[in-house]
Amino acid sequence: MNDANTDPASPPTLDDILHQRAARQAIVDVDEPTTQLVVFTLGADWFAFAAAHVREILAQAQVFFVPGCPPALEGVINVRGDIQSVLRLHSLLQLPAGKANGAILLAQSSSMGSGIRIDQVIDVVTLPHSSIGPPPATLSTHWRALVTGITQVQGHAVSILDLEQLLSDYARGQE
Amino acid sequence: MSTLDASHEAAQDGLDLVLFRAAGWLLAVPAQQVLASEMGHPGDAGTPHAAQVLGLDEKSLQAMSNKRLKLFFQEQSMWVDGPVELRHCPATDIHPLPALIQARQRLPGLRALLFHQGQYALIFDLA
Repeated sequence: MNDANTDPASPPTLDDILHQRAARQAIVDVDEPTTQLVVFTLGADWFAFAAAHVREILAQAQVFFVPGCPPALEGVINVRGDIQSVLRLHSLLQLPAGKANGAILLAQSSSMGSGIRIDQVIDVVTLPHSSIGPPPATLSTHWRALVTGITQVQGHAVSILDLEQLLSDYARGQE
Repeated sequence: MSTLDASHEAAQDGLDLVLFRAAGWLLAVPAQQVLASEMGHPGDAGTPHAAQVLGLDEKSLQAMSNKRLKLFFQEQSMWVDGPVELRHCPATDIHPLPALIQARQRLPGLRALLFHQGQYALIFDLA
């Protein structure tokens, strides 16, 4: 039943209140800032980078080993003449070794770019900021500096990683 | 000034590189840095192998070929494995080390990477 009150002098009805609430909610939904994330897996764990930092997703690429590098640096790839390093994210996050033929994300921070080896890309999603929570206090010390937030995608907890921090820490030898 | 930092005009043209092998790797040095070369003498133990000089895995030394050449540079000399060839490589095939590799690799003198005619080589600067 819709008996919205059109007389401004009379007290509001329940329908008036509900219409107002719905209108406000709609405005909030439209205006709420969103973030686009590239969601991926490393083993059983789900992670994400801000999509703004991911230039390309490579399903396969030949990796050329560079001697004298730490184990987390897998080598370099030649992407249409652009040479990029490949970083094993499993190693950086101290997770068990992943798929040797997993996908590579071509990531770009403000100061440098690198390929990042992951297991599998799940999806590219757009989420409102309100759906992203702070990292839990129980997060390990190692991850605390790299995880900027937690969200849910397809029923899985997803840790959102700070690519700027990850690359700059690694370049400085702080892994 | 390093020979890899040659003039802009020269960089557009390319670079003459001496390619050789050591510890299983295809390696290259700017030809300008090679002063002389001579065939190997098995008894000459005083000259180090390129794998040692360049910090490569010495476990691979056992895979060295018997055909060796001694390359002389300004400050040192070293044995390298063949085949050794002089090749002019266009500048577009010579790539700087990616930032993370540059920051974390520990090989003395590794300066660039060569992707040339389907081959991948490490370019060292021994100047």
